Amino acid sequence: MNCPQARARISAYLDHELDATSSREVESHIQQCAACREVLSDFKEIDAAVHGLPRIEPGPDFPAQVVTRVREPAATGEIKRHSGLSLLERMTRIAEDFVALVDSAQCPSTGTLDEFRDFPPLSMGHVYFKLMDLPARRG
Amino acid sequence: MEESELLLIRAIADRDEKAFETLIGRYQNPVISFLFRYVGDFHLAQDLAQEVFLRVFQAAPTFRPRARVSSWIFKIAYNLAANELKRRKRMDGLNARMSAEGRHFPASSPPGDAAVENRELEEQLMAAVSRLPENQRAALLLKINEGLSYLEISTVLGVSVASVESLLFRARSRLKQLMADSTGVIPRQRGPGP
Repeated sequence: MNCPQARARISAYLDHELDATSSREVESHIQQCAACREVLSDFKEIDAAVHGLPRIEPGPDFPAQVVTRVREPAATGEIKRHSGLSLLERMTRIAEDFVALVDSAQCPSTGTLDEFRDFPPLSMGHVYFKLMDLPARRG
Repeated sequence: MEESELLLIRAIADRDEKAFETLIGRYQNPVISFLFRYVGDFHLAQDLAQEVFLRVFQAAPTFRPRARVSSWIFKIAYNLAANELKRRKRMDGLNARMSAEGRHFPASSPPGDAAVENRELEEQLMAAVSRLPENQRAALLLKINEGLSYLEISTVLGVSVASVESLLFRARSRLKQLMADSTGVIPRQRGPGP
């Protein structure tokens, strides 16, 4: 086994995903090759560092919060609604994305859907120009 | 464990809320940790975790025990998170958030010298992880943090086992390079000190 062959299998060797024969071949190469031994050592250190990142825990009431959400008819509809959106819902989502876009640019304040309440459906041109007007009014 | 989890899924399919709470209790920490490390934003990870379990509840009646329950749950988590990242990238706001306010850890200990240094190393490492291509990042986190096998990771990511091996090799090589570029060394966690 040469270096390119050994390095191609070195992750699987580290993860104990090789069969016994392949594993022995990689191991034998690593014992003879300082460069590949260093790659393996670096990979182990990377793994240890990533494994050492702090684990995140939700609050103690997380399960109850989720259970409460599944009891809400709107919440279960939320999951399914992508394929069955009405035109008005789709328009609303597009407008929400526009507002989120303005928000993500870290403007000092954001618009809300109330801004568009007086617009008829299918008036995306109006929505667009309304959004274009927002930074000027903030300034 | 797997048999009992299949029973839990069947109970959830029958809308048994107690079984649902048990499953959430079992998976909430690994799911939310994976999501946090994948998207790099604690609040987004929490929101996504709620959506993951809502989808588990919704999809339980259609679950087929061809895959392990854990792979199925992580697949839902990965798909949701990947879609959310794509959506945010389209809106061109994610990078600014991840590098600015989003990359924070919940405080867990007083900030002594060692703790501060560890926090900096963690943040550098998280920044480097966030710069990995998304499929490499997911493969790496699922392997190292969640201990999934290559077969399970292939199920979650929807790729072949050989692709998982390649993704992990490239992820480790790239992460090593990124950490060397940013710090000159691969970070080693220090103890809390005296």
